[in-house]
Order: sequence, then structure tokens, then C-alpha cells
Amino acid sequence: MDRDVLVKACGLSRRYTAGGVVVPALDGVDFTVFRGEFLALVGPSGSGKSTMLNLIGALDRPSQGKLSVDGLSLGEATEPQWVRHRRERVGFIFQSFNLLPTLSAAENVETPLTLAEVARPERRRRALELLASVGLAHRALHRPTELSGGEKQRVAIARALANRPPLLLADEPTGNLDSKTGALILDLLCGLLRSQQLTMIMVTHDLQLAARADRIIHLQDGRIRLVESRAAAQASTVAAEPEI
Amino acid sequence: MTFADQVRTAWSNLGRRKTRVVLASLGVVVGTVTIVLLVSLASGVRRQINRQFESIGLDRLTVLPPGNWGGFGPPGEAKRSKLITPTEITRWKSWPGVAKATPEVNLPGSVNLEVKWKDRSQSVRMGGGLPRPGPGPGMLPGTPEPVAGTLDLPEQGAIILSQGTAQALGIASNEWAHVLGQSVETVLRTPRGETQSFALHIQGISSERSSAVQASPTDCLAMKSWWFNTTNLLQREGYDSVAIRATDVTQARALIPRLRQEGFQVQSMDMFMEVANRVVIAITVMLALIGGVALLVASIGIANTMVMAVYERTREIGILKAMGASRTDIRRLFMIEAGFIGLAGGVIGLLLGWGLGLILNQGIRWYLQHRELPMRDGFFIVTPLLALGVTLFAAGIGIVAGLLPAHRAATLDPLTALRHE
Repeated sequence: MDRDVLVKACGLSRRYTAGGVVVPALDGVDFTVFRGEFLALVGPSGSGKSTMLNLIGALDRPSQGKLSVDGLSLGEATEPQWVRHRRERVGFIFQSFNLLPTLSAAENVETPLTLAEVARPERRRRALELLASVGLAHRALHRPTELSGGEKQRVAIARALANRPPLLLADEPTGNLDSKTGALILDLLCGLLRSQQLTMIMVTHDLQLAARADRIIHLQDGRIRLVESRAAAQASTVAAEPEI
Repeated sequence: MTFADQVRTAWSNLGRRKTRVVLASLGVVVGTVTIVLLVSLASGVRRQINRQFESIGLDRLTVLPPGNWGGFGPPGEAKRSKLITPTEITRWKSWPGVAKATPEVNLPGSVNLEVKWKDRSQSVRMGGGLPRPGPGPGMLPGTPEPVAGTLDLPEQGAIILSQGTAQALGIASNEWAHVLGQSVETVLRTPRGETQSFALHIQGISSERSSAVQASPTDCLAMKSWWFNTTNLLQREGYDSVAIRATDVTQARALIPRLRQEGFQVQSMDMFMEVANRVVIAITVMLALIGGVALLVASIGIANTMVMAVYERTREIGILKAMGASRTDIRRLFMIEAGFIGLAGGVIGLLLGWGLGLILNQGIRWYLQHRELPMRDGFFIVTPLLALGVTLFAAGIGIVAGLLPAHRAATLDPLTALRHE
């Protein structure tokens, strides 16, 4: 079966200048993400995983190389195209949830819909529907401070899905959760990926979580060290386990 | 993001920091109160002036012959290039818009004139008691009004007494109505002791307080002829002036150029009022500018509040941007917020200034009554234009104050903003 390419990077680099020294966060990376795929980015901190996610999410601009997402070449895109890209093509899930503290769960989920100028009743209807799909219908009117970590992340997932983007970008989505809750969140995400045929790129340094991805890209010092498919990853995790 | 959503979001964001919003808008309140008080005072004064002029009668014109003012010196001294003859008056009376045209003959101030009633006599001045345009001693507080009978003089044989004259002659106010139509003797006395008396019927009594009378034009003419020992005064001199009353103010305005075209001089209250109003408008603008400066100072407070708000909500701005908020969305959010602070200050300031004006009005009214000064109405008048203008201006000041902070928020780098703690 011919697979549909959603993200394509070619010689992608991102360099930062800190104190007059040029630091390459990402250094000439080539990779492809297929539609419907669940890709995990792993590597030690500073390896460039988050930079890659930010570039794909149009929060950051590449220094060099080509990066196209869903047909849009992000390096050359204008600001309004970026805004549209963030609003319609990607949904962000952060480690620290990043919910708006003054809004209720439902209002948080509504925010991307508000930005997309969806009519109010439709907004509310869709927000409640999304909250129900992450099992939080009963918490719709609660503020983030009244929610547990897992609940917050579920609200964030519902929010990321609000505008039906084809691509989810998750930056350590379970990093602030205990392992049991983290596993539940990942279960939820995997279920959503399957049921809605979404693509997800997840940054993590938890190899066990990464093992649930279709493919794993290992990054080190801004370069791709290794690409594993699921079968190989599972084998390596299993092999690694006895050592713990 | 739709504009309605931006407004709604900005409004709810304001609710999160009420104390700071109140403090920031306090400056606007002070500025707005200043503007409202100063400008409403100016429009109050303007209205007072206009009312005074209107009470004198904007529908009245005085037509004078061209050249010398005339009437104050002996005949022959005045060089009138054109005369106001009875023919002219008849012609003017036929014009549309002219309700009345009353000829007037002035007696020089040196003429010794007395009025006799029963056994009393009172020295009087001719030419008081009739409402006529033009500034004069009788202008404030308003023109004479009839307190008995009418102030309309027939061509001949009648006289109007001022209230002051009537009292000096010993006619008590309860008798005023009964003396109407009765005859009084008006006596002219030359320095050499020659006298001539004219019997005239009392037509009415005016509210004028000084000792003055006004006789019918024909009788005035006769008095003048006798005094200067001339004949054919009317043929040679014409009337000294004609008081024209128009059917309304608009007609009066239309009559002025028409009469001028015929070569006559025209005086009307309208002209004086225009000058006075121009001065008041200039003062109003200056006062409003002072208040405007106060508001500008207040805008610094708003700008400060907004800079703080942007700093505090940096992370939120990052989140919104990551979810697809455009620069315009963010910029508008903050500008609307700043505009709301200005608007709130403006509305509160307007209400406070209005209230303060009402209180001051009461105080002034009490004072004027105490001093028996006949001023009606308030001195602080908030017109709809002022209310609307000052509110919009305050909101505008807020928006301008929010420009820079909003621009900062809009151009924040989303990644930096998201990392902000």
C-alpha cells in the first residue's frame, strides 16, 4: 500500500545563537512522517526533540533545509499561513498542560474553536462532545485548579482535537504525571489516534511509552542516530527489561 | 477570532483584576470630570447669554436712517441721506414676515419733561418702557414687560408709563388696572420757562423701574417740533428709527439684508449674540483642552497597567498563539481591554461630573435667589454631544494608551512566551 506523506524534512537545521556562540539544536535532519502514523522522538535532553516538534508546529522557523507539513512549506510560509497552520493542521499537547487558568475545562476546549471563528452554540456543543470523548463530561465547568494532573491533560487533549487537526504534537505528554496516569493518558491518545485516524508525533524520554509508537526516531546532538520500527523497539525494550 | 469574541474575552479578562482596573481608570475619571465640568459650564454660560439676548427679542430689529444716528441734536444737524417716511413704514408693513413696524421719535436727553397726575408731577425721560433691540441700560435683566395694559402704542394720543413713574405719581399697584385709558398731562418746559402740555391716555404700564415714559410717535414728533420750534419735521427728518417685529426669528434674519439693501441701518440682537457665542466657543475649546491634558496624563496609567498585564499573561499569550491566535487577535484583545478601562473611567467621570454640576447648579441658584439676581436655569449644562464626545474620547484615550503594550503582546515570540514562568 502506498503511504501518504504528511511531514517531510530534508536537511532540516535549527541553530541558536547564545552568547555569540552558534549552537546547532538540529543539524541537517531528514525524515518522513506518514499519515496515520504514531511517531515517537526520543533522546537525551538537548538532543533536539522539542526543537523538531516546535518546527513542525510552526512555533519556530528552520535555519536551513526544507520542512513541509500537509503540503505547506513552513520555511517559506508567511505569518498568516503559520497562524492557519497552528490553528487547523496541528494540535499541541504540552508537558505542563498549558490550560488557561481562568477558563473552565469546556471554555479551554472552546478556545481553538473561538480562534477559528466557530459560532458559539456549535463551539459549546463540540467542546462538550470532546470532553465526553476523553471521559470528562462531568468536569466541563471546573477550572484547571480543580482538576487532577490526568484530568488536566485530558482537557488539553480535547483542546488539541477541537479543530480536527490531522496532526497531534505531544511534548512529553505524560512527563508531569505518575506512571499509572501516564499510561492511561497514552491509552486514551492511542485510542483516539485509531478511531480518528490521526497522526501523532510524541516527544518522550520514556522508552516504554515510546515502544507503543509505530516508529521511534532516536536523536542525539541534533542528529538522527537511529530509526526503529515498532517490532524492533519492542524487542529492545523486552531485552532491556531484565537489566533493570 | 470574531470581534464579538474579542470584546467578550477582553471584558472577562478585565474582571480578573478589578482593583487594578479601578485604579487605572481613576485618572480617566478625574480627567473626564474636569472636561465635563468645564465644558458644561461653558455651554451653560452660553445658554445664559443666549437666553438674555432672546428675552430682549431676536425677532426684533431696529431700522435707522443711513448716516447720522440723529435725534439727539437739533434738526438740521443730522445729515440723513435717506429718510424713514410714513410711506416706507407702510411699505414695510406689507412685507411678508413683518408683524409690526412702529416708528419712533427720540427726544433729546436735554428736554425737560414732566408727567402730571392729579396733584403730583414727576420728571421723566422719554423713551423707556418699550421693548427694543440693542444694548442699553435696560438690557439686563431683560426687557420691559407689561404689568398693566399693553406696550403697543397707537399712532397718536397714548402714553406708556414705567412702573417707576407710576409709583412716583402715587399710583399704587392695585390701581394700575383702573388708570388705564385715563388722561395724564405731559409737560415740556424750556429753560426760559415756556411750557407746553400734551394730554395723553395711559395705554399701559411697563415693568421698567426707572422714571421713564413712552409716547405715541405722532405726539413725540409734536413735542420735538415744539421744542426745536420747527415745522415739517417729519418731511425733513423722517422718523428717528423704526422698531420692526418679525413673525419669527428666521424672518427677522431674512429681513436684515433686505433692509440693508435699501440703504438703511439695521440693528439686531442676533449680531451681538453671534459675537458673544464665538467668544464662548473659543473659551470652551480652551477649557476642553485643559481636561484633555488631564486625560492624556491618565493614559499613562492605563499604559502602565497594560504593560503589566502583558507581562503577567505572557505565557497565556504563548498558549493562544500555539493554538492559532493571530497577531491581530492578540493586539485587539489588549487594545479593547485598554479601551474598556478608558470607557469605564469616562462613564464614571461623566456621571460624577454631571452630578457635581447639578449640585453646583443648586448652589448657584440658591445664591442668585438670595442676591435677587434674576438668572434662571443651570450654569452647568451637559449636552448629549458633550456626554457622547467625552465618553468616546475617554475610550479613545484608553485605546491609544493600549497601542504599545498590545503591539508588544502581538509580536511576542510564541516559544519564548510559552517558556515564560
